Amino acid sequence: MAARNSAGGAARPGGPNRTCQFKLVLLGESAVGKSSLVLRFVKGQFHEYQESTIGAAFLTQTVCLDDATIKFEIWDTAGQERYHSLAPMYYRGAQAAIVVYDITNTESFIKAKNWVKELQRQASPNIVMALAGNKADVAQKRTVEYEEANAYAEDNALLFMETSAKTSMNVNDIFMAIAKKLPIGPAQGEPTGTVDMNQPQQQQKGSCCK
Amino acid sequence: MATTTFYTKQRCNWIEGRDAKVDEVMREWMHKFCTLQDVKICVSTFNVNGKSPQSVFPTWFSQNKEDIAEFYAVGLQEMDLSVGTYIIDNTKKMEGWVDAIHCSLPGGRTHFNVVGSMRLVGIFVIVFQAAHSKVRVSDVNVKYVATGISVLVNKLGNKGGTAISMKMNDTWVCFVNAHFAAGNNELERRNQDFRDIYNGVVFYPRSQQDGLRDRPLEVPVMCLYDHDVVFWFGDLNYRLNTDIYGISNDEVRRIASSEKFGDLFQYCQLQEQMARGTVFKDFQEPKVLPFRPTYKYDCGTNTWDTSEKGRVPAWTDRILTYKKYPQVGLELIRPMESVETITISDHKPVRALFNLKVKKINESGANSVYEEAIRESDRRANEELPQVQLSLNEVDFGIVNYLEPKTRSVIVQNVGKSKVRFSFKVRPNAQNNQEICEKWLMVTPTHYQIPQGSSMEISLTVSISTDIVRRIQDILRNGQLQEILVLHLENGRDYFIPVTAVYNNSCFGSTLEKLLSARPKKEVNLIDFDDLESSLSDNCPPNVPRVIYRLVMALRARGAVQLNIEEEQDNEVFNRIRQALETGHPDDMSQIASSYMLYSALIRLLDSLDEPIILEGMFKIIHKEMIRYRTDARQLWTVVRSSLPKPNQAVLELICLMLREFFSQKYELRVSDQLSLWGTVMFRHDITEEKTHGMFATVLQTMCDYAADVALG
Repeated sequence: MAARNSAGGAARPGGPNRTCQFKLVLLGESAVGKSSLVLRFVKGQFHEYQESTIGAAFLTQTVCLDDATIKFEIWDTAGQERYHSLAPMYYRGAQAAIVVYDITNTESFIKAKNWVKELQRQASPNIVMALAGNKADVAQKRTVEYEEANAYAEDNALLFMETSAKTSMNVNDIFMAIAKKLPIGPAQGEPTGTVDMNQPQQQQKGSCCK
Repeated sequence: MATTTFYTKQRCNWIEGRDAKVDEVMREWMHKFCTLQDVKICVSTFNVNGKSPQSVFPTWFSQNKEDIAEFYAVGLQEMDLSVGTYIIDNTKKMEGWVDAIHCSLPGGRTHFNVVGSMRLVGIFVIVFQAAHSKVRVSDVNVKYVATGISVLVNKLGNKGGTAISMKMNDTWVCFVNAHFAAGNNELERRNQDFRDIYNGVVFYPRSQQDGLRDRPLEVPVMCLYDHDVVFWFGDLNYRLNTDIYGISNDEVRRIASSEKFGDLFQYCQLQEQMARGTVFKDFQEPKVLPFRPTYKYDCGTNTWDTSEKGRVPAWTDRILTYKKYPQVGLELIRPMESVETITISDHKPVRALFNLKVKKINESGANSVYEEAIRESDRRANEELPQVQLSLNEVDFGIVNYLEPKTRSVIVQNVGKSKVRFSFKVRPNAQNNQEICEKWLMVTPTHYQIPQGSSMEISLTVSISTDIVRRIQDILRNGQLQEILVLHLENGRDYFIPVTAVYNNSCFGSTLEKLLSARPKKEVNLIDFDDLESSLSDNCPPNVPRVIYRLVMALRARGAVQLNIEEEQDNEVFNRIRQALETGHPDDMSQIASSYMLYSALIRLLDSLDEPIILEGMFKIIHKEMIRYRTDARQLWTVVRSSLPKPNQAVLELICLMLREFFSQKYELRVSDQLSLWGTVMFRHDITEEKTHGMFATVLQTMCDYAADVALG
């Protein structure tokens, strides 16, 4: 329609219920099941022979909380070591991260701890971090004890769950747990950490709700 | 594939307007949680020319049983023209007209109740609802907008609009009655009236209307386009452009009176403006109005205006509709018509009968499908993401040579559901200075748009230039050239494209030391008869690398006379020379290329060394001393002998020997830029000053004039 009044769009109902957008990144060694977790969470599917991710896949998924709707922008990164140097492009500006390891692969747990360290140093200080011990369906082959990982997560204030993309165990739960920990403040801010230089700084803080 | 488990612990309620994509799904699924009810709505507009009403107008509304509507919306213009109206709010005339309309409705006043009304002096809108109607009307709100800039001259309230907004069950409906600027030449003011009213009709919740408008708008504010349906009617005053086409007033009147009155509609200004998109964008009106122009008659008659002004007939009185979404069920169920039997005014009333499918939302039903709708909206969003297929996941260039560019291409195919725009992302490490890749790699194009189903080629070129070759050891990782390109799809994912190449260690981009120790790479299986003869390079002095010696000897053998410095550079020939240098075959290179190509290969070879022949070291002492003694051959050679390593001395002497011969054979070379060029190559100093540049040439010339042996006695 002609001459659309700009007050119209902005004035739509917000109220106590709102939609918030958050950037979430998955990190971890290759073949621990990052893409499978996302595929299970977003599409409810599981592929036994999931292709290796070369690049950073992108999907969105919305979850409902009591008082808000959380829209995740999920960046699923390539796990191969050669792409390690590219990871900051994805965890920079992320409000949430899931660091994934394979409970049957001790090496992947060590890598996960390195990722946590890197995030603690380089990512946003307010990032909500979760540790996912994937492939819980093959617990008989486990080499990383639950207690060990749990203790590590507690020491580093991480959310922690053992998950299985195959059986869908704890998959939705870990995303929900993150959603609940994300800040849903009253301010109307820019989503996904982009900074508008024309805006005063204090308006940038707070939540990503609109 | 297993079924998804959804998050049933929480229950979210659907609030329209939070997420446009989810709302879209909800609208498609309306049948799952809405019941629709047919409601007939009759809309009529009438410019009453300030007249007082009769007690009843029996023909204003159709009395046919099938035509009786549940709602009647009537807009009057010029209801009150008396001067006093602008000062004192005189309601008497309004009451008379409300009564007259009420009594004219089918079945009379007892069958209808007033839902709401709004008045701006003579611009009056009123909505009635049938007493038996089961439609739940709520959130009734009213608004007026006065237009025109100069309030005093235009008389406040002369032009503008009045509007009523309401919810019929759960369908938002707005009725706008407007009176636009009059006059044939006031087209632009009419358009402006439209824009002013359109922007001005904003309904604030009643609780907010008392001075609380500055509050953050958390409660819904209804703009015109937020309504599911808008009926916009009134005396819009758009005239016919017949004068532009040379059609006289008499002719217009003749046609307007005939059965062919529809032919005039093509000249209607409003039609023309709508076609241009100037006003009433997204509004609907029948293609041709099936009634005579409703303006201007002599009051009390059906005769076209006989007054002095003699107005040209026009369809000034109009009814238009707007639907927020295509799915809204609104239909004109009878042809729009004018009521010619009403002659009280100089206009005729126009009426239209619509059927509106009014929805009733079953709230718990809506909430129960809401989560599913969110998921559906996510599914669609993910499906709509741009998708491409790359012909290569990794680009391996194999062996690359100095100054021998190699190109590979990656084909990007758009396999998604929409066009794709791609670009390459700048990598996070600041080393490469906001470039998408290292300097040895070139990518074209770096961004582009690919239509759905199409593909395009991205070309990657590895090119090892002199700049790169000099610092090749810093660039190599695990003995390879390595880079990762990040191909980014706008609003979508990223692809990593690793690029690798193996740099063929060459005599170019090497060091004097390495060149000295290098032996030609001989091909073992070949019996090379040339080798049986005493080879040229056997005479090579011990401190001169063979490759340099062979080039110099080939050049000397050909002599300066054959050197044409204007010749064009030929990469293929250059590669042949490079191969000959590296394989050692043929040992005598004087016949494999022109003098110029040999000459330029020699310059390139020396220029690509990690350090210049005349080393810059020792805090530039060498440079300084050489410039100081630039015309003193003896001193210069002393500096050379005392400060440069043996191989550098030997190469310098060899080059000077060659140049000396050349200058004697071809005098132009000395005076041409060749001396400066060699000065630059031998000193390789960041020369910004012309003066220093000249000094290097002078130094070299002095050294060429006297061989070291002669100068030093």
